[in-house]
Amino acid sequence: MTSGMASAAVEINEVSKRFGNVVAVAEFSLEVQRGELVTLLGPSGCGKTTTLRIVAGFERPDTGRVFIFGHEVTHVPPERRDVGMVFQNYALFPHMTVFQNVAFPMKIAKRPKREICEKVAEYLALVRLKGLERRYVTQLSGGQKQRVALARALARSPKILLLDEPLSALDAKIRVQLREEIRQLQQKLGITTLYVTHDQEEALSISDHIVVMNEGYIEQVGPPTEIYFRPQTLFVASFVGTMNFFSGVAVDTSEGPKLKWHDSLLAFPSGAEVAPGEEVSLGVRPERLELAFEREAVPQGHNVVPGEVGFVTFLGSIMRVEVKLGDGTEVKIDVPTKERITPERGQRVYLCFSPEDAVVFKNSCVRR
Amino acid sequence: MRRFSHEWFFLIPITVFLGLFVFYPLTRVVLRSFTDNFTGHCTVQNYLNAFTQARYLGSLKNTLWFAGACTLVGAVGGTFVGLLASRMSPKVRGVLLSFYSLPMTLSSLVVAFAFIVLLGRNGVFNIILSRYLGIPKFDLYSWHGLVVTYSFYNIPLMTLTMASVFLNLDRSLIEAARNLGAKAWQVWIYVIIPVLAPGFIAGISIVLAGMLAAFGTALALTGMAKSLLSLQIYSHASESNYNIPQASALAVVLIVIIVVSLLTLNWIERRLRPGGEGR
Repeated sequence: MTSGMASAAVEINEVSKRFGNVVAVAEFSLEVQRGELVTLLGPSGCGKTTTLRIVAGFERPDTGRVFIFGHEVTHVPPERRDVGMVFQNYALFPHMTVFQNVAFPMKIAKRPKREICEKVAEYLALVRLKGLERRYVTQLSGGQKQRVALARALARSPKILLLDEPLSALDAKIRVQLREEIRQLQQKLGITTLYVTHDQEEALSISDHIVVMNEGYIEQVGPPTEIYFRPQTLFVASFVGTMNFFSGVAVDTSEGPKLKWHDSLLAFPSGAEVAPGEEVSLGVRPERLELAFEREAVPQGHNVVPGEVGFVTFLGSIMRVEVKLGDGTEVKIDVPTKERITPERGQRVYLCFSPEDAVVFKNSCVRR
Repeated sequence: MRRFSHEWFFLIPITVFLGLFVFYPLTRVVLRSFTDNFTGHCTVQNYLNAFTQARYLGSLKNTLWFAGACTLVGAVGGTFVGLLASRMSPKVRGVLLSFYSLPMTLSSLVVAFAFIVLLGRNGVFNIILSRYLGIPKFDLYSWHGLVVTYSFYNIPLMTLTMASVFLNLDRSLIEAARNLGAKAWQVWIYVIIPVLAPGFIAGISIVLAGMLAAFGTALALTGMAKSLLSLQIYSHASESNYNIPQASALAVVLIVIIVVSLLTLNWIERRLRPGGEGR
C-alpha cells in the first residue's frame, strides 16, 4: 500500500486539517491512479483547496499521511515534492518575462542554458504561446497568463500536476476552450492530475473521476456519469446539476413498496431496497421528466403527479418549465424545443417519469 | 480646443499660486546666485566658492554623508518594522501605523525639545544610563545624535511605505516559487526582493530628499555647530555673514543635488518595475 510498483500516483490517507475551530478537511482518503485526472468538486469552504495545498506541501495535515508514487511526502517541504501547481490567480512573477517565468524552475535546478531554451520553447509551443517569450506577464490576457502558468508548472516534468480553480477568473468562452485544452494536454502528457473546481460542468466535462466534497468530508467518488446519474447523497444530487425531489414515506401496496407523495403513489426503480415506513426521497433530473396535457397521454407504468405550469424559460435547445405542484413545491422540467410543445402559464398538466429514471435517497443516509 | 476652455479656467488659481510662491522665488534665487554680493555685477564666483572654499565643501560633504546615513538607518529600520507590521493583525497594525503617522505632523522644534528632554546632557535616559547603569552619556548634539533624532521621522516614514509594500506582496508568488523548487533564500533573491524593489526605492526617495534638505530639528539641536548645506544657506541669509548671492548659489547646488538624486532613483525604480522599460 505504501510502496512498490503498484502504488497509486497520489495516495491521501485519512488526512484531517483544522484551522482554529473550523474543520477544513476531515478523515480524507483518496487514491489517484497514474495518468488520471481527478477533480475535487464542491462549494467554497468544502476543503477542496486545502486538500490540494496539503498535497502541494503548503499546509501540514494535523493527522494522516500523503504519498506520491509510493513515497511518503507528508513532511517534505514543497520545493522538494516535485509537483507542478497552477494557481487560481496564476501567481506569475510580474518582474519576469514569459520566457523567464517558464525557465524559472529549470534555472533554480541549474540546468544548462541550452536545455532551458529548448524546454521553454517546447512547452510554450505546447500551450500555443510561441512568439510571446519576451512579453512581460502584465502585458498578457487572462487566458494567456493561465497558459504561461500551465507551461511553467509542466516545464520541469513534475510527477503530478495540481490545478487550483485554474479557470475561475476567466470569461465563459475562454473557460470552456481552455478546459478542453487542459484535458487534451493532460492526456497527451499522461500526467497524473488533481483538479480543484466549484464548477460542476467543468468537473463533469474533463474528469476521469470526481470527488464531491462538502464541509471537509467526501460525499461521493466516481466517474462523471455515475456522479450525475447515480448520486448517492442529496448533497451530490443537488450540487451536481439540477434535481427535483419527491419526499415522503414508503408504503406497502399490492405492487410492492411505493412512495406516498400527497395523493399520488410513486413506484421505485427496480432493485431499490425500501422498507415500508421508511422516509425516502425520489430524485429526478429535469430532462428525465415529461409533460402530458391529459391523463391518458401518460405512458403505462410511469409515475404521475398533477401540477400547474408556472414560469417558462426559453433556453434555445430546451425550454425550462417550472411546474407548481399541489403542495406548493416547484419542479423543473426540461422540454426539448424540437418537441414543439408550448406550455402556457396556468395550464393544468401531468408530470410523469419512468421509475427507472429516478434515484432513491433514504433520508437516514442523506447526511452523516 | 473649445472643449477644454472651461477646464483651463480651474487651473488658474494653482498656476498663480505656483507662479508667485515657487517659480518666481526660484527664478530670483537662480538669478541672484550669479550676482556679486557687493557690486551686484554678474559673476560665477559664488559657485566657484561653493566648490573651492573648505567650509562650503565641508558642508556639501556633510550633507551627503548625513543624508546617506539617515536614509540607510531609515531604510533598514523602516523595512524591518514594515515587515513586522505586515504580519500583525489588521487591528494592531492600524494602531501602530496611526502612531507612526504622528511624527510627520509634529513641528521640528517640538521634536528637538522632546529629544533634549529625553536624550540631552541632562535628559531622562542619559541620567538613567550614566547614574544607574554606568554607561557613558549619549551625545545628542553629535552627528550620530542627529541621525538618531531624524530616525524619529525617517523610520516611520519608511515603515508606512514598506508596510503597504509587504502587504501587497502576493503570497501565492512565494508559494509558486517554492512549488517550482526554490529554497527559502532563493525565493528572497529571485522573487521577493525584485518584486518589492520598486516600492522600496520609492520609499527611500522620499527619505533621501527630506534628509538632503534637513533643517529645522538640526538647527534647533545644534545651532550652527554642525555644518550642513541647509544651515550654511540659512546663516548666509540671516546672520552676520549676510550674503544672499552666496546663499542662492548654495541653494541652487542643493536643489540640483536633490533633483539629480531623485531622477536617478526614479530611473532605477522604473527599470525595476514589472514590465519596466529598457530590459
